[in-house]
Amino acid sequence: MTENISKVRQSTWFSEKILLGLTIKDYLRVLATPINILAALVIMVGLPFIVMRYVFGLAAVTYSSNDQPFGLFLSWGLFAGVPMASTGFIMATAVYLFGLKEYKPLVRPAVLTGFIGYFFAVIFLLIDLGQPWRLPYPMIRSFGTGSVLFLVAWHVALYLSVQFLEFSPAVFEWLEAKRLHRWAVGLTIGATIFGVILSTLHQSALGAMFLLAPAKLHPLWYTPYLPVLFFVSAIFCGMSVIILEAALVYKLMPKRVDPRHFQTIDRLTLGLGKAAAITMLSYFCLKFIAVAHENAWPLLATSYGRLFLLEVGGFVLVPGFIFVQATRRRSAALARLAAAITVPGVILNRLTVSFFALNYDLPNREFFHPREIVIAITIITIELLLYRWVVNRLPVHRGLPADSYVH
Amino acid sequence: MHTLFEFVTYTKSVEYLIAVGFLLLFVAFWRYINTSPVAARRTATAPSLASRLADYVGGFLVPDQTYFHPGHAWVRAESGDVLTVGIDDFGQKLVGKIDTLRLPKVGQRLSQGEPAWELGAAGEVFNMLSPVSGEVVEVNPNALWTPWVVNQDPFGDGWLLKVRTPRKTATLRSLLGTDLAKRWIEDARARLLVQPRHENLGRVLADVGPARDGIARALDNEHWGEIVREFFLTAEDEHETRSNP
Repeated sequence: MTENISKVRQSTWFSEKILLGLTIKDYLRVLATPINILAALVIMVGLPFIVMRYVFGLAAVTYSSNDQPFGLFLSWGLFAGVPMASTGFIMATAVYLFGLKEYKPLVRPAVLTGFIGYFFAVIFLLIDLGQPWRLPYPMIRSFGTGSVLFLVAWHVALYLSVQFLEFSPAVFEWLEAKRLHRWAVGLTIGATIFGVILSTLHQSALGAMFLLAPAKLHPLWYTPYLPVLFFVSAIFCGMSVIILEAALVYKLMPKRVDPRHFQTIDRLTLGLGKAAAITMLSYFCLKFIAVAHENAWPLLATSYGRLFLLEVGGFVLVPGFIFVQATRRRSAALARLAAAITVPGVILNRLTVSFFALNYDLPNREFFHPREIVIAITIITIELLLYRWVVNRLPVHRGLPADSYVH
Repeated sequence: MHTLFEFVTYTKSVEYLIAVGFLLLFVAFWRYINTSPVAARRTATAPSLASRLADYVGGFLVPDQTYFHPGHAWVRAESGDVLTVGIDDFGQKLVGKIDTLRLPKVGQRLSQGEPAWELGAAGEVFNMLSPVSGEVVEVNPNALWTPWVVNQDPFGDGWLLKVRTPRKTATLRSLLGTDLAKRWIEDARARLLVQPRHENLGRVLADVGPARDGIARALDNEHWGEIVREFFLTAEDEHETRSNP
């Protein structure tokens, strides 16, 4: 009898926590939506290519070579993925260190995005490197303290752990583990400070990696300021990602959002937009200081120059201006539009630095391999599904701070 | 180096020029981003500075068309039979930065003079009395999430509840109108002066903006809770129900 009771309890727990209170049959029925079927198809096509990469090696799925060291896995997954995952440290700093407490409703979504972003950056890295069991090598076995990769490896590993700690209060709330929750909340400030140090260092370290190849990177993008440029652009990229993420979740999953947040989200969006506009102006000027430093003005008239102007004009100046107008007109919709232009702009910048403008003068350069593109789309799909899975279950956009409540 | 162009190019002066240009641009940018056409329109319809200053009594805001309950809550008439309720400027300055608020739920019934909500500041919790009787129809989510909005804008964004009352006119008549309230606030200010450590009062009251630590704490760090309860009419020896002033 006791066994039966514990079995019933177990099944209730599983149904409540994992199946959203449904039976397995109902849950599977609810899952059969066109979007889920499409996602399943993408994964079914992509997974065999990932297996292929491990069985036949990198050459089976990419055109990467010594001349083209970074394919889509690293250009997209690591170099573009990491600035998009800067959300966590930006919001945690704003709320816990700068005391901008009204932004608290955005901390958990931002930390979750950051954590998932970094986690999948590591997945992309593992697919690119192969031999996952050797992942700890650059960190503990054959580390070189003079290597930027040593820095990146340690930073990403530590920061991933820190972000998990920062997000853990939501996990413990979900599991109703009160003591662990209290313990995790107590760690928040420490984890935030540690996280800020780590993310400042490694966002810029990704840029610093290219300082090792001054002759290989096109002079319009190569500059000793690269670490600073990477860090500053990660800030407004992260802010834009938070704006877009909140807009999408509030629109597509309104049931998972605390109703009170709907009244404040426009104000918070505008605050983030204003901060992004200020950061983007600084970045815009830094970009031209970098060009002046390299004295690369004549190159602006070349085809790479046009790409540079498109990136700085179309994806920094234009969205920056829209952010300013959004702030002045108090229009959250305009701020969302600006954010939707800003994020692709930062992605374009990272793809350019790590792919298009690297070894730009070599003949016979290849574009991305189609299989590589399929693998990247597969990983992005899994990433989005994981995010949705967590938001559907854990108190990410819900839950009041413990000290304010309605009785 | 023959020309100015070469001088500027080879000495890398352009970098410095861009940096200086950036700083100048930033000044213009900052002014531009902070002047909103929407805000300008609002300011145009807002009352003049002179009339706003006239709303202050001894450093405490007592705006027009607002009614007051002696427990330092205010009431404003909305359309229909709805009244908006909040904490007055004296009340928020007395307690200082409000950290927590515990408000009644939508649908809950309030009785005039009965404890209606709780606020927490610096580790102390205070009850406040409802200035009206009726049913709560809306709770300010901003005040719940960020209670210090009450300190920033007690009569605007810091409102607490909207209450539906069947006897709106009679309720408003039972409260203090602006003129009476100004005299009452003057009296309350005078009562602060009889507090044991009133020598700090001049300094405290000179701060017309939101005093972070609150007037009561500045007066007496040990017994400040009692001072607040005395003014909120919730001191322990006053158990009886208080209604009309």
